[in-house]
Amino acid sequence: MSVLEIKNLKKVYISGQRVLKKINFKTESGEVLSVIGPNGAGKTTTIKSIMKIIGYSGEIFYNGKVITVSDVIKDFVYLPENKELYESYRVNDLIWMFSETDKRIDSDTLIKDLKNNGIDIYKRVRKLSNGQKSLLYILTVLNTEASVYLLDEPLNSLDPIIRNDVIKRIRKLSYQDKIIIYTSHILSDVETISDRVVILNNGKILEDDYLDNIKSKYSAVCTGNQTGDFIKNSFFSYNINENEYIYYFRDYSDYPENSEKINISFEDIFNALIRGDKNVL
Amino acid sequence: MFYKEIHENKNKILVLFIVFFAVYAFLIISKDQVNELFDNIYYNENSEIIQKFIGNTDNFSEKLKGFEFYNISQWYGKNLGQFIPFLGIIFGFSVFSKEKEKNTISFLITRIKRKTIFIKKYIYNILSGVLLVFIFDLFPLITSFFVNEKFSLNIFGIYTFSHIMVFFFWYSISVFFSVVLSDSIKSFLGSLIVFIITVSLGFLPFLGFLNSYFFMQNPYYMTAFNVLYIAVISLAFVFLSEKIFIKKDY
Repeated sequence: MSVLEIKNLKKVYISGQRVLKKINFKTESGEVLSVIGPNGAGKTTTIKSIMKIIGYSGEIFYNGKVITVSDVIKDFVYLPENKELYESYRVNDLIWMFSETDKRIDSDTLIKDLKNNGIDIYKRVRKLSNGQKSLLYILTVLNTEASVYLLDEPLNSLDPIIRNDVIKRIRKLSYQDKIIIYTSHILSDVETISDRVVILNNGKILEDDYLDNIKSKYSAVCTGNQTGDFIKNSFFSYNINENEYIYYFRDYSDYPENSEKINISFEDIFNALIRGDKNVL
Repeated sequence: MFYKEIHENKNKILVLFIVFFAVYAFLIISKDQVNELFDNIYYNENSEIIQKFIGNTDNFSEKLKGFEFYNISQWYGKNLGQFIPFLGIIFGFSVFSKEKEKNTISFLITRIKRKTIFIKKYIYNILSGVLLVFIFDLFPLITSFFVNEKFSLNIFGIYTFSHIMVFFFWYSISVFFSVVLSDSIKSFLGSLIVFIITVSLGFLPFLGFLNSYFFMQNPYYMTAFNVLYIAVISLAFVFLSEKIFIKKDY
């Protein structure tokens, strides 16, 4: 079983921008971990740090040892957010070049996959649609034999049918005891695909738990404008009309008498956590 | 990885070969016209004024009629010689910056050790550039067989050596910019600015060694210091580029 652990990960760019502020999380094989957050939260920076594409301070452990470039090259595979490929190649030449560069890529299966998805392998990459280019990159990554898959926004620009197929493929990898770290903006996909979720905002972790736990942990009530102790326990609130407010709580069940508990979705929790970030931390 | 570099650079190499081949062919075809032109200049009634512009022209017009001198002055010194620094820049400015610009660098650096990428990319591009320069330098030697003229191997050797040294120098500088700037246009301009500055400073007393044309146009006067200067500076840029590439955030 493989384990990936991030401890006190910090990243400060030369410009002085602090993108990651001591984040910690752990994931293990067989688990799909989604790292989600708004733009600029630090998702891509986290993934790039793990892949050693950028420098960082803090520690990243892989199977109990400090991760090295050799570990990354041997056991990890990365799908970047910008899925740019070498445009001057024909698809079949590109796959040949890929498989020469990285022997872990199963080029025969990859070609079959591409044909099944309607991609003409004799076409130049530059002539493919954006969706096809993304799919080509995604399928290359999914057909790479690795232990850890880091997928940065893998489902962007894919049509719904292919999107579902890719989600199934990612799930299948987790059943094969792979570690999967996945980032996305699309919360419905996150709900479908994830076992655990790390919610990032401004370089800090707001939540790190199993998806089911997160859903059951948070609650919200609808009530009139309140004052006093009740307010202190709410990390986020907003008014739905002149007299009614929705208050969000974390591990809180002692609601005031005149309130009504409301059903909240994962998306509601996410939005409340991000928008109420200053109140939470 | 070599296949990748060949695939991505074959058009550049082909275009450069065709252009330089065409220029050399034109130079050989137009030799008589060039000789005639210089005769007219030399024996013109205003020749003294013209000679002041083109320097010591003693026997120049006569010497130019010889195949060897014509090739030295018009090909090694002028048409090919003056482009050698630019060839170095053309081969080096986009080696790494293009990968960053097109966001393809992440594919490579997550699959191959950065040191290996640097070495392979650096070596492939310098080898293809040096080979091209060598072929261009061979043109007079090859042509001499066809036109039944004499062309000294010694001259070919010394000019080729100086061209390759200068190519290595400018290639290494532009690779450095290619690593540091991560943008092909900026990398090209950066190399060009350094080129303009060094050539300009080379006109000042005691700074002549900074001017690359000094080595190429007077290779017989090249001292051990000159060779050492080019080699040390070039290697320093290679070393720095490699260190930066290995540590750089992409």
